[in-house]
Amino acid sequence: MAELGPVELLFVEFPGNQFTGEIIPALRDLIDQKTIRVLDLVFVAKDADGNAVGIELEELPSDSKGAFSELVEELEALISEEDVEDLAEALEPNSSAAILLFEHTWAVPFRDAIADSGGRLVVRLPITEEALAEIAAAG
Amino acid sequence: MPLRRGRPGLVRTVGRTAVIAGTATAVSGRVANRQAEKNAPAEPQVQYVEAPPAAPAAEDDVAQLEQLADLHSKGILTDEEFAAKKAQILGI
Repeated sequence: MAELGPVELLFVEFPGNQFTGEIIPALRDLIDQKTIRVLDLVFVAKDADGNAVGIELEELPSDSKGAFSELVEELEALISEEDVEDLAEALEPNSSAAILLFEHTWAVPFRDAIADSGGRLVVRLPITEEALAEIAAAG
Repeated sequence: MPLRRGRPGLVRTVGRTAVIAGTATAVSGRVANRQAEKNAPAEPQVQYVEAPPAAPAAEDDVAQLEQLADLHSKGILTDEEFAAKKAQILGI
């Protein structure tokens, strides 16, 4: 994986066991603008009893499959079965989820500028909503 | 999921390497340690015994010394007279 921009994994839960695909236009825009690039995509479904199963893109129902396939040129199997199992524990019963692995392509020129100027990115730390809420509450 | 089997998970690898590489977890760990040090009970206060304050020069004394210096510079007082009177004023 040579010279990728920053890579991020999102685990997004949907109620019910179907992917409505409404996030697809939003992702499509980001990809078309070269803001992000989808590296890997896999899905998880959990039934009412809490049993979870991983679902590959090609195993989705055809309309969902067609819609999600537009988002990714070439899937690399970077998300492992272990990831699917670990993340599935956080999933509510009778719901489904998408595991999205993407590259922040927008950040590449910035990353290169840092390196060219002799700088060193020491820490990259996403600040969670929970942390911001706690800080805001503390006044 | 045959294609995805057998390779290490991203989630666990990130969790493990974040500590090794000194990223977020390690940084927050160091910050937490510094906070703990700050909140530690304060060192016992050192008691200083205060020396009795030196007698301050009175304004009169300063005025007198100035007059004396003036007389000395004009040659009205000799060096010895000046020194003697000065010593007297300063109480030394």
